[in-house]
Amino acid sequence: MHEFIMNIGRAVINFFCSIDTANLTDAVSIMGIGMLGIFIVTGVIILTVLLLNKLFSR
Amino acid sequence: MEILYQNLSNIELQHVIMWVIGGILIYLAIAKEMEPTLLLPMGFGAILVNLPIAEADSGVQAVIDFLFKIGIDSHELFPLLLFVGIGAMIDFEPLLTNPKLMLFGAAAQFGIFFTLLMASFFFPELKDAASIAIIGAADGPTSIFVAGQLQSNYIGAIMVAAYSYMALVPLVQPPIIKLCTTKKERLIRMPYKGKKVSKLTKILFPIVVTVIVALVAPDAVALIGFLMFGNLIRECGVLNSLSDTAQNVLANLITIFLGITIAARMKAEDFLQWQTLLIMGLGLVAFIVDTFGGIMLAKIMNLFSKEKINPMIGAAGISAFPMSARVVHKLGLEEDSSNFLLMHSIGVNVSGQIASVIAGGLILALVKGILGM
Repeated sequence: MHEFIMNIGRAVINFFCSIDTANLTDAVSIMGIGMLGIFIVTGVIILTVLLLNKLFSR
Repeated sequence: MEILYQNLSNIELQHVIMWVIGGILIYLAIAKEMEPTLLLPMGFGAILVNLPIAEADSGVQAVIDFLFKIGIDSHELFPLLLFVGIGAMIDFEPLLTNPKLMLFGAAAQFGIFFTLLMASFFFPELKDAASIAIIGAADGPTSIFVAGQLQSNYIGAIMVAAYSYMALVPLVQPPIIKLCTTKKERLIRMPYKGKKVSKLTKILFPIVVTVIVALVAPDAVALIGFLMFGNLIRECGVLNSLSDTAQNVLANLITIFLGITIAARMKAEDFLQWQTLLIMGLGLVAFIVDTFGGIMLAKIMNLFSKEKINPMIGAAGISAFPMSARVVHKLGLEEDSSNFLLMHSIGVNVSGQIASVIAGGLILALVKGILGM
């Protein structure tokens, strides 16, 4: 039983040691830029629709 | 007789497992009516590509591989053509009458980026993590397009996860929505102010959106361009027969081949890996966080707005058109039989369609930039 728990512990430690931090940093930066980008594009589209509605409303 | 024995002896356990998986997909399509247009061809295709005879130059494999090559591998032709049909099906009027609904579509893409973060723990290659994350777009063609462009090794599992969860939206979303909202919030009424949108606005909208997205996220231009082209055919008013063809004949034709083509990547040796289970799990995370993101934005907006928003409509930003909007509408009616949220949730839902394409384009641009692709 003790050996079994030790093996699980080792597997968990190995997993965390194997995490590629460079990948993680990239993912965080993509997350930040991506969400910001979506909101910027969305904002521009909203403004454009408001403008179109104002210009061509009957 | 010898050939018969040879074929029988070629059967391995992994083939049988794939037949069972194919059978389950067909069962879900027919008995449960879950995305039958895609799950049925995928299920049959999964059986077809895992027949031992098919491996022995029977022609079946070659034809499916050819369809994959021309339909997905070369320039993602099938998902793009399907987008023409989807664009022709979408009425953007609920969104055009209340454009701020687009913000919920944007917020509901949070699941994509959160899943990218999670996937990067388990998948060493960024292109695979990003392809898995795009399951959160809740939009099959976008998932295929991004995974195809990034040449992910797990495109089969990604497709199965994307379409399965889209089919499971009526099961996945309600518990999350109830968990994230109070009864009082779910009872918020949102009267629909049905302002008339001019025909010119409806015609200009697809053109303007295409130009804006192309300038900011050029990698999404093919997706948004084909989607908006389909919508322009619908809205121009002089191409009704083309619009009808795009919505029905074209969409159905592509769907038939798309499902069976995806099965090209469901060969036992590629599909039966522990990563497939992980991808299914991450796909679920993406859908949950998408739903959470949309609801949370509505709650935040309620802090500053006089006119309260029913936070449930934020959940419809997940794309998955039109199931997600229907789920929100149904939940609203469950709480109060006279609270009709359909027009608002449809508006958010179609904005999610646009936002998911933008998210796909941004993911492509950012990942390709980092990987130097």
